[in-house]
Amino acid sequence: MATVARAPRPRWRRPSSFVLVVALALLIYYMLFFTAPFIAALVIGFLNWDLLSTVVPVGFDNYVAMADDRTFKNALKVSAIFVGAYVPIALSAQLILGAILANMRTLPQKVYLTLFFLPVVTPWLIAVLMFGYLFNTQAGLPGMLNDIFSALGIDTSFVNPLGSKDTALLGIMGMTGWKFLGFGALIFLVGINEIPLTLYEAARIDGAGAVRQFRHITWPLIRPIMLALSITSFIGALQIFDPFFVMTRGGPGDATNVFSLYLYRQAFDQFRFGYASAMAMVMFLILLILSVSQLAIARTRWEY
Amino acid sequence: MGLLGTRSAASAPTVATSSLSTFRSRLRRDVAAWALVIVFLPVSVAAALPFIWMYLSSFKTPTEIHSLTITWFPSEFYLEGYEYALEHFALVRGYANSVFVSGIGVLASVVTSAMAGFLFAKKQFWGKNLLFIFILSTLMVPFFAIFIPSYVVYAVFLNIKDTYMALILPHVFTAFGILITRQFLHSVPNELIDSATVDGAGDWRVFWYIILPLSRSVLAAIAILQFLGSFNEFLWPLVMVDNQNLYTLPLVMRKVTAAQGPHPSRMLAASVLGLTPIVIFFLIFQRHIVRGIALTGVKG
Repeated sequence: MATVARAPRPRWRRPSSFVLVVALALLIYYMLFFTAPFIAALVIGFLNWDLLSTVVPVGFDNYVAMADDRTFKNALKVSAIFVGAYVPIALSAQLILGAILANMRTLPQKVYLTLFFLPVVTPWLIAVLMFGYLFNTQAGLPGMLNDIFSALGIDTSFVNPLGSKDTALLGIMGMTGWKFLGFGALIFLVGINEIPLTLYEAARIDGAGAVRQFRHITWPLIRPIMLALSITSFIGALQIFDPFFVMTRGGPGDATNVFSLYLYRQAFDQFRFGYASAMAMVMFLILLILSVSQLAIARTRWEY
Repeated sequence: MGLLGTRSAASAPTVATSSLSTFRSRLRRDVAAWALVIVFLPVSVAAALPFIWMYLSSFKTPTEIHSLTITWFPSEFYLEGYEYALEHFALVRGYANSVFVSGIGVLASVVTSAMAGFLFAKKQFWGKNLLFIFILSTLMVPFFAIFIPSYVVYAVFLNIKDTYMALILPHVFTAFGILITRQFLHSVPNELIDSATVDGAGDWRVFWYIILPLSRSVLAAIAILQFLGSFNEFLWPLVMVDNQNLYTLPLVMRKVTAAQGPHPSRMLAASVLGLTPIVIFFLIFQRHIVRGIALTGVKG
């Protein structure tokens, strides 16, 4: 760090009323609605509490109980499968869509972007209704596919994916992918558009085709965006709640009983606030580790 | 703006080449670009399929919906679903509640974002960096980590469960709006503010007459993103609101889902009624939404 000639430090002056009011408001608001609840979650995790009866401190019992809770372990597994499969596939699809859109003329680009963005602004609760009907075996997409294939002379029996233990999670994954495809694609599109065109022109003169241009120009320059999107996608995907709560209700069996849903139920159906808070802390730790490790990997791999 | 200009549109040849070869290569690029559009058409139709299917099916009669042969277009314009949905689901009330809650929240968050952005971009005070890092760090906290104690804070300490306040308060400040406004105001020259200060304007006046109008475009982007976010919120209203008069649209839609029966057209009509205003809103403000996401996604 070189000491660059700096402007002389301004002498301490009494902060204006604007500074005082805004800074204090910010401090109070974020303390009250973020810091306090976060510390409280940590504390409640060590208690037995149903909001009504007396509070019983139980030490690490809630955390120990998790290790013996088969439903919790199942929820952890289901969430891991969901997030682990969803995030890489979704990010790849978003990147491909973004790259395709970047190569389109302004008008078709706008039209397609609008189309793919509609699911993003659709509330989950309406998407759930739409898909509930679309997934219907008889009246929806499975029936349609069966009709098409039988017209081709092939017998198929597509059924509602949410009805079976094996495919329910896949069904919700598909919905989630559909819902956020346009969002990620837009972010990649904007990122690709910020890459200077001269780079591509130089590559073209050197005889690089579309694939090599993507591999050697777009991809390296898009990686910081990929990293940011990846971190936020993990955080978002693990917390997806609405479709599981409304559509599958965790079923069939416990096939879609994800972490967030189980946490909600422990708190608001079973009134085990202590246990649910301990679970929230586990979720926080998992996401923290995921984020930090992605940043670390990015740093060692990408910085020379 | 050029933010979303296409790659090819801007790549006009810089070196004078023979006009014929320029024409040829341009033609080839044109053909390639349009071929891409056409090849891509089925994919986008697939993405739109759930919407198309819902809009068409909402006009189908129950027998048509349940018939074994699938028809795309309704044979008659059946409106019973719409009549029923309007009569039995509190859609209008839900909409009014959602718009009210989100509207007030957005208004508040836009003003606070501009204030805090001004504070962090242009003001000097003790502990500024610390406060900024503190606010940034709240962006890393997943909602579920503070979900349960937040419920306790609202329901027990503040005792505002089942009030509009409980739905508005979480949106009064937005770390992400503060971040974007701060970044934007960094690019505003200090002279603009200094000249006003020399003229005797205090911070409040500078904020109101210079900062606020200046950041209009950024604030519009924040406002729309915030609006969509809080409009679609489900889990928080779910635990905060028991009184059906305060149900926001997502809560009303949940009741619609729960009412699934032999009449899918009613349910679908309710979804169409719920979704259409959002789609119109989106189409009107699309530019701001795209810009907002571009601002937050890439720079954030």
